[in-house]
Amino acid sequence: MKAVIFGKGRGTPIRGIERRHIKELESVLSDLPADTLIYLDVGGLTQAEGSRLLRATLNKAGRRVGIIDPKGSVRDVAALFHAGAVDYIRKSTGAGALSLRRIAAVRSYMSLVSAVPDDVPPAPVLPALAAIKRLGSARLPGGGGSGWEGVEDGNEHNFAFLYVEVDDVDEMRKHYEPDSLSKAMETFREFVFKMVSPSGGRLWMWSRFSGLVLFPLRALDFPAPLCGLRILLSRVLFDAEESPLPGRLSFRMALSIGSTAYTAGDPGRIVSEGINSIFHLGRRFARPGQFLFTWEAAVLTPEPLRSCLTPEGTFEGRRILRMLQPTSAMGMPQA
Amino acid sequence: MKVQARLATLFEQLLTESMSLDQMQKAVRMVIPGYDIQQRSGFPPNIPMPRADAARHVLKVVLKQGLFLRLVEALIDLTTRGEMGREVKILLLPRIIAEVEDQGYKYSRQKKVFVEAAGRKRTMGWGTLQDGGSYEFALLRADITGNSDLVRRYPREMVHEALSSVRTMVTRFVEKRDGRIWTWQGDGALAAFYFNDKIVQATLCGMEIIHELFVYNLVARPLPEPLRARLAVHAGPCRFLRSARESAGDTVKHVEVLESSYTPPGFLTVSPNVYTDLGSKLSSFFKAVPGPDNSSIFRYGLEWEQK
Repeated sequence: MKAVIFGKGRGTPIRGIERRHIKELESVLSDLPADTLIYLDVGGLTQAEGSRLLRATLNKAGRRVGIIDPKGSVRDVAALFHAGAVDYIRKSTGAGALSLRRIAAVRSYMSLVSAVPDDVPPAPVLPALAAIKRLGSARLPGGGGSGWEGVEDGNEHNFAFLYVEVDDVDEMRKHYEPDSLSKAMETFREFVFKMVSPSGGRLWMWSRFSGLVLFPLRALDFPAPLCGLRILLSRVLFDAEESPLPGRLSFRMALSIGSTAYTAGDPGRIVSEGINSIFHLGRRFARPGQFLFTWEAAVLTPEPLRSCLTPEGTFEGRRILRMLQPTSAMGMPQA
Repeated sequence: MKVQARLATLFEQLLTESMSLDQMQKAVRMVIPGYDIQQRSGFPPNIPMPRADAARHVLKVVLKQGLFLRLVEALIDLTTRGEMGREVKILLLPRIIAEVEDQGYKYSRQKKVFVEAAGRKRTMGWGTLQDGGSYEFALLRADITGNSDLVRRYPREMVHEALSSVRTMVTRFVEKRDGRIWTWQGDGALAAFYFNDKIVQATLCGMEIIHELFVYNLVARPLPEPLRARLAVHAGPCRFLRSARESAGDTVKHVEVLESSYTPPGFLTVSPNVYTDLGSKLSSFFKAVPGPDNSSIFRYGLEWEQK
């Protein structure tokens, strides 16, 4: 597989990889072999120029496009992948991280992704985790390290977003006194905190009835799905042991992959497409008691957990999967 | 608990300086019902017994009968509740508590007893039960099924590793809820829960083991097939013996029968007396099934929703 970098200026020469000026992109695109991996170096481009060229390149059927972002100007890396990009080399790694080895890894990744049928969860295909492990050595976004150690305050990072929201809030407001409800919600927040912390999850945002947990995206593992399963299983114990409410508490969850600027303090002013997207999925699409996965999160979910996912339709143009419910073996729903 | 001389002297001083003979009498009767200090000490009934003599006698008796900690607990309870609406102050009691805690115990206000402090070696009787005494327990019986078949089909080391990790997991969940593993015989464990909410704790522990095995079988098992356990909880009186293997009686037998004869692999079964104590929320997760002698027993288990 051939790789060509298009960018302004000469950039750092990379052995075995051709570099051309960005002005040539549109004119030579149709002459390049179909499996050429095209990298756009958006370092010297405006946001508008970068977006236009990305769209133009992706619109050429079958083109595989990676982004080199030496200035860290891309605000939502996840959106690039949603748009069809296959690789992203960020500020901290730079074009120097691009190598023939990396291209081989991306190729392997692409062949796996393209093998996934549209209407089923990404079956045994995607050891994307394995692909990412390989790429991790080349410091893929969020790759390497052991999690929060690599997350710097104020910088953009890749995360798994786990959204949690209590169901039937209006009904609860009718049935419970505000004080009782507040106490119950605080207990629920503590429960979520207690459940996610051992897996490296950090409860980042919490409003009264919903919250967002961040898991730094790591090369070596992806603990968020298993953590979510443990939360599902522990609903019974929460109801029986911790919840001050007389009835069972139902809640929904949604898991996605995305990026956001991270701050250890109040994240209130942070705007991120990835965060908006997971809130939309959790609030508008998830039904009571469900645990939903975006396709990207499902792809990263290791087997055999992935085999517990089932298609749940599409939302905002994205394929969504749902984790099957662990139920009482006597046929009684667990929650 | 071995009471050191300094603590014994301090306790004698506490009784002498802070309590009347009548109060001492009441306190002793909280741990030895009907005990009469004056009569049992041989002091003539027509002569008022000096407090120092009474204190010395009380100390001797509780040390001999291994009830020293019980008496301290009774005094703590007395100062907390008061007597006939009056506040009771016992000087030196905080020092006695501190001395006991220095010896590796911690007073649990919730349970109103001294228990082994965290980090101290756990004993079968929580450092508080008397050998040979009869107590109310909730007993959890867990048995990993099909062990012999597994050994025949898979390398011994692999089976050993799997069983060992499940044993560790069972022990962790039992001790997390302040239970004690009394025995591991073959691949079966008998765990005891003693304190106030023992029935709920034993049941939740069984449910947690079911959940954790569910996760273990999904993501961590070394064998090609899942490990399954049968679990049962029953509550009732049982004689406690430090060599816990010998702790036996109807309650132990009943929980063993419940597990071995009435519980399919992968399930937790609780007896009717346990079920009635679970409270409505927890009991709603159990389903009634036929049990011994036309009774109903109650069962909990997990499976995936069908695709």
